[in-house]
Amino acid sequence: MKAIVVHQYGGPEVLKFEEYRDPVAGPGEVLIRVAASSVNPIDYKRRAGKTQDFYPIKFPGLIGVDVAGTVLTLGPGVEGFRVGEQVFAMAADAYAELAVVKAANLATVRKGLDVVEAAALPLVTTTGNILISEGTAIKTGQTVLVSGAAGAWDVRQSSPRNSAERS
Amino acid sequence: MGRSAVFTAKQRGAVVIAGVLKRQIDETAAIGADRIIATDDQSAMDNLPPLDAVADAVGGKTAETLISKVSLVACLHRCSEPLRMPRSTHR
Repeated sequence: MKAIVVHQYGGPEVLKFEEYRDPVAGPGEVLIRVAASSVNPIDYKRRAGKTQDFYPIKFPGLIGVDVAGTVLTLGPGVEGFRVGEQVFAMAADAYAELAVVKAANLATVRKGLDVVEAAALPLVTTTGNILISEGTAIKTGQTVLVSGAAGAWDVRQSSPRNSAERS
Repeated sequence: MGRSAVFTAKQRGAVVIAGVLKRQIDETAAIGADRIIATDDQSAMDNLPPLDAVADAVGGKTAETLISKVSLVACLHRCSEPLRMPRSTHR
């Protein structure tokens, strides 16, 4: 398959579009033909080597954590998904034509949601979920204020610092 | 992230106040919060109701202001990605 392969930590120039071995779905995993991935801050930080302590890249390796696409094969023991179904997930090695995802992390792209747009959702919605369920542990009847509630679009706009962090 | 935080908080039965910029108030109407407050409106910030928690998806000055309003603040903006990232499945 073709993939965006990283051979060393560095700037955007270390991202190479080239051949990479096809992944294979093991037990409990699903092989997906990738329709879209998305770019998250963790991707450029990881590519730049800033997450080596807890999330290193084994070279030559792939990056990318958001993925949406079509189910190609089901690994042993996988139930609840069928070949040809559109799915999305938080995964690993998503900047590629093919990706293997744990079935437990996989969700169906429901009617009305475009498969490409679905790739923008996994990490950011998981993060919002963790912010509430673990960060605030808010309970029924309690009051919580969510700042930045309209979404990331304005996080960027309200923080010039962010552009400097990207390289 | 903010929208999904609102969604999760509503699912948990919380009363959710969406903090957004003044110019975002109209587009925020549809995200399901119980109330919308402009965090760049000083009088609105001065008159916040009692809060049990703040979930801050922005950071910076707004977060500092909110920290003074409540004892529990969860900050999980871009500087702290979730650490339980999926691992490579290539073998």
